[in-house]
Amino acid sequence: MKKQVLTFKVNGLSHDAIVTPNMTLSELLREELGLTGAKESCGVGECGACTVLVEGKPVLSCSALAIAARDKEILTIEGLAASVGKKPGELHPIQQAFVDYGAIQCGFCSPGMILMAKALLDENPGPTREEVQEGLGGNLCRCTGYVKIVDAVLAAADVLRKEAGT
Amino acid sequence: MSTDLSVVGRRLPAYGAVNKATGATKYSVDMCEPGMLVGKLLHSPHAHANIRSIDKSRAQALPGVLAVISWEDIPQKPFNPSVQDWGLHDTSNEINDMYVISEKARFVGDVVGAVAAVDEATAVEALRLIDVEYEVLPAVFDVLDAMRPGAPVVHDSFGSNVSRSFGFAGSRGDVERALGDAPVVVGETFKTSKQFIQALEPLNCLAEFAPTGELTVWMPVQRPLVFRKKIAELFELPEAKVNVICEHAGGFFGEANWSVAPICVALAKQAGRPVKLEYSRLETGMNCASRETYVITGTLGVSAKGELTAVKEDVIVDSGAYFNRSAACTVVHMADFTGLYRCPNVSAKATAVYTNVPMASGFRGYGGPPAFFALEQLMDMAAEKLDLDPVELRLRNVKRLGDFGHAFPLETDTHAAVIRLGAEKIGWEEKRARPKVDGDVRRGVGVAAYYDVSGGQPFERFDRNLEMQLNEDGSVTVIINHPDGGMNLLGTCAQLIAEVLGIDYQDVHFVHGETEGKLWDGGMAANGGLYTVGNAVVRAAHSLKAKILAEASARLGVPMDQLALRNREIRLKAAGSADFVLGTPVLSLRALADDAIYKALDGSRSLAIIEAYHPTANPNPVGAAFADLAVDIGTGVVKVEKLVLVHDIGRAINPATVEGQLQGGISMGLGYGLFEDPAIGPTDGVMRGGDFNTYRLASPLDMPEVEVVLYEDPAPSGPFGGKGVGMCGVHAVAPAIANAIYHAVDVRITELPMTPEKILEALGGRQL
Amino acid sequence: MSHMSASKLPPFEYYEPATVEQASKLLDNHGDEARVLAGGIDLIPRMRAGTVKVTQVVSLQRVNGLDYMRRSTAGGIDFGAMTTLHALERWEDLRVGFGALYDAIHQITSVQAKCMGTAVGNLCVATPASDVAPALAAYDAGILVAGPKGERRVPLPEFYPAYGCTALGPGEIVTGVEVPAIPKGHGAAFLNLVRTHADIAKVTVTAAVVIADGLCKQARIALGAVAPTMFSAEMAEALLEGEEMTHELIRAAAAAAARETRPIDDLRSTAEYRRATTEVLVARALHKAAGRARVSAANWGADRGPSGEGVTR
Repeated sequence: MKKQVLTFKVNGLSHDAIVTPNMTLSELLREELGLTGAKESCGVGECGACTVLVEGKPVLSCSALAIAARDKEILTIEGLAASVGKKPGELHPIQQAFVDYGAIQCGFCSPGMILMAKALLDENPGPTREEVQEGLGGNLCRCTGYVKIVDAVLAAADVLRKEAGT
Repeated sequence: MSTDLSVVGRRLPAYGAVNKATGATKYSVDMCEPGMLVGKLLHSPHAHANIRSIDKSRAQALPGVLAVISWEDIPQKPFNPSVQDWGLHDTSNEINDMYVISEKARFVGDVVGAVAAVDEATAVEALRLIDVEYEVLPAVFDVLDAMRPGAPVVHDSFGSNVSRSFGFAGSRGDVERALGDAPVVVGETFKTSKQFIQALEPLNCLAEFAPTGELTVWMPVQRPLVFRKKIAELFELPEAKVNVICEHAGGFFGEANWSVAPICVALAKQAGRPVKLEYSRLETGMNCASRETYVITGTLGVSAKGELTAVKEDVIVDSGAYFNRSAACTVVHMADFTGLYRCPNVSAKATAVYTNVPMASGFRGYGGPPAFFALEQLMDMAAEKLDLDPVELRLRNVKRLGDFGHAFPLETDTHAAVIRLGAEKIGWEEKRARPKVDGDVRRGVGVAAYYDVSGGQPFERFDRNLEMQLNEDGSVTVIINHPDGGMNLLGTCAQLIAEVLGIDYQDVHFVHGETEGKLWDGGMAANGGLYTVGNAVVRAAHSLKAKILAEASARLGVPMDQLALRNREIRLKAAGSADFVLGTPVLSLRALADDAIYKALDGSRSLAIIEAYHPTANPNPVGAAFADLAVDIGTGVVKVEKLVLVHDIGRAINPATVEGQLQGGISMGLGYGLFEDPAIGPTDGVMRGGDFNTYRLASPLDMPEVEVVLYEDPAPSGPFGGKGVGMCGVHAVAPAIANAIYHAVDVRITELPMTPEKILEALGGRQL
Repeated sequence: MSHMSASKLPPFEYYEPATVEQASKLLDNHGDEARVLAGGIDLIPRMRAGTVKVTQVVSLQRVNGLDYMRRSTAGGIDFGAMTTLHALERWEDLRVGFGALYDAIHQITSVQAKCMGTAVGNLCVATPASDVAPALAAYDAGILVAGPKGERRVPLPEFYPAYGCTALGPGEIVTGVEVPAIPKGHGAAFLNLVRTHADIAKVTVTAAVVIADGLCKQARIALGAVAPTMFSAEMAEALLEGEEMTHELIRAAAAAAARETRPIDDLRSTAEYRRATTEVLVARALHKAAGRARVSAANWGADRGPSGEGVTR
């Protein structure tokens, strides 16, 4: 099994990392790059806690190979706010809504949930409540019962639409 | 009680939410120490087996392996991977019946060995190289089978599988006579199911010894100081040399199996290196606490007027392979079953039984969800016999002000109003009367009530010790040992403190992540966070306020009763007015604090308080759940359309937090009622519902419309009137669904979870 | 029982061939040691759990020409081996024209799994509980296969010779799927039963019928999770073909379909329940399909599209 030095574009920055084919994307992020925002909860792609965006699409980083993500744009929770031009200390509107609406309890599902919500709103800026539930269908939370999470995503959608002037 | 609260009652962001939203929060599973090894567990493939021999030599010889342990390497002290025996109540004493690693395997997955190695592949290979010779024994998986003479005995020292039988201390009156006299008697046997905690952070531990012998343990733990004592005793270390770190945990919900840490510590000790042990999902289910399974035989006697005259329960507790918290959970269970309603004659007794399945312990709700699943169906059965509306029967029997709760009198009289409000929200009258038939589905609506405690006092030590100090910038720091598990206890406490001290809630800071340097605190459990910690911080804040005002009084030469704290200022009461709000600001809190340190001529002093709080009451939060649903008579599938839950919180310090607790509890109650199932093989004891593929949690799409309503009537002994909430969402969901199913299709489902398979069978097959 | 532990992936060699020929050659050379990686949502977790053991992983992500979806000249739909479930779900032509297939894809709960996972990957996992396979089978889909001996088209039910197996030979890979055009009077319906939305189906049914002159000209009843492989309930189909789809006949066909099942007890359900509810779901699906077929027959060529299915949701 070959070890290679590959370049990854994570949160707008290039990182070189020594990679073997059997390294998952979540291992690359968490163990090699120290980006522990992506959580591993189930390890079998069933909970969504490890969700990151690759080329804008939501990817279960526990079930993706790091090597396959080389040269692609990877966005993790740590880079979300900056990706829309927020300054350090400022939050992306989805993060802000999660904070404001009480959508975060233990917080272990929150990074994956927020990134999934971003992917959802990028594709469908004006979702119905049902569409938000469908969009987050692959993300599990053991704390909240999802009510406030859905509230937060709907509220963030309003903010984002206003910001976009639509 | 002041009515112009400025911070209490507001929907403020939860403690730590910003760091969680940005991925900055570190959980113990995110921790990494230099030189850290990977720990792995060896599990028994047999449900019941003696270990004839265990040969670790091949594993030890594998390069990269630094520790291989089995039962011989673990302190030979009987252990209970749960809380301390508090000795406050004889029936709450648990049995120390396990060693950290077993010499005899008692369920499929029982830990028989562990390794630590430089990487995971080496650790997994080392496990393969441990040669265990098992003597496979007959096993027993059903609790009733386990009680039969001749059943395989799980713990030899007991001679049979019955570990303990105990009556309920609150039994009173003459139940048999009351049942004989009652015009209406209903009885039924119910079987509840194992439910796993499965918090999203997998159970994990990182243990490291310093060269000088100090031990540091990172892990998700609700009662760090109690746990520190247990670890110190087990490994014969001075408690001062053990530091347990848990700042944030990815969900609590119950006392997960603390044996993860002793195994990890034993590995770290042998390896001389830090070791991290991370459980898989299956291990997090199998080797951690699950909800106790009960076989409940309940009987109610009811007068012609619809008043309960007798409540009787005979409960068999399936402890699983080890006793864990079988006593405490069951005592609470019996108190819930016999205590929800007024009744002069009650009796309950419990039999705890070992089986060869993963052990049970305390899980959100304790014995409550099983109790209410049984009791609340019996109430509906009685209502039907009496030809009374189920809501009406409950209203006739709810406890009132001053009635005895779990251990103390009820402080408010709210349950009837709570139930009425819920009935109104769900549209009870209209939905009970609407046509049931709608194509292939039958519609039904059901109710179930619950009540609970606000902490484990007086049966457990829910005492709080904390330090509170005014910083020189006028902010406040609280030093307290409470890990954050998502309940926003600390944020809620910040609101309480800010209210008392007239400061911004963001000016309240907590030092809370590790046991090092903390005063003793009983930890988090039993719905008791807000009530007991909240009361403690309110008392401390009042003491600090008095200290601040005394300082200000001395400086300003104004009597203390003319001064108040508002908006981070010391204010002088307006002349002729009782109102401090309109008063004149005379000194900023910051200036006062700063001057006391940097300008005081008689020496610098921090204004600080040490608070020791021992709760002497325990108000009962009460509530009710209502389910509106449709049963597909072709498939038995239940579609819950709407759940309404009304909860008497006393006072909602942060309504968003309280709602979130209840909404989350409801999702667990839904899973408990309908689908969460470890699927333990009835003939082999293998748990097939282990990971998230096979043990399903509710996803966003599985949630019905949920309406949570907070009922506020301040409890006199609570902080600003607040009471407990954390466990309450889960209690009444399953029985409300069960009663609604009965309303829809006239079949009573007495066994959890209420799967379509069971419903279809009860219907006598598909009805289309 | 080391498989109980959370585990990292075992070592393997990784390839990203640029052509189907290269991919096929790699697979042929390595035999059972090699697996194709498409979206990875099945393979990677299985390799982590140790239930699939391979030393060579052949990724198709850089193979040209496998990520496509297009209308065929005959009016059907074609898509490639690397076309994601998410892309298919968002494809208007599929949603409007092939509503039961859309429903089968749409109800897959995890959006991440749909964004990563491909329809062909779903088929190649060869689980009998796939919702997508019966849906495609009911539309008479063909699997396009390429390998050392050239290309071939395999009708979907024949793609599954036995439990957990596909008809792929050494070095063969699936390159795409062809779904033929649907005729006038066609209607289809997808239904399944699950423990929770995100779970694997206990029973999955897609029924498709063509109705002309009031008679059922063609019937497809494709079932999953109720036998070792997905299969078509041929006896039930035969009962319907050439007949008027009355309530009684649908009942009889549903009963026949249930008799054709070979279900098992497992952690998700029981054999008895699966058989009983197969009958219920088949009857419902046939009623729904027949209703849509009548709409299609009446509105054929009208602006609303070729079938009545597109207006299901």
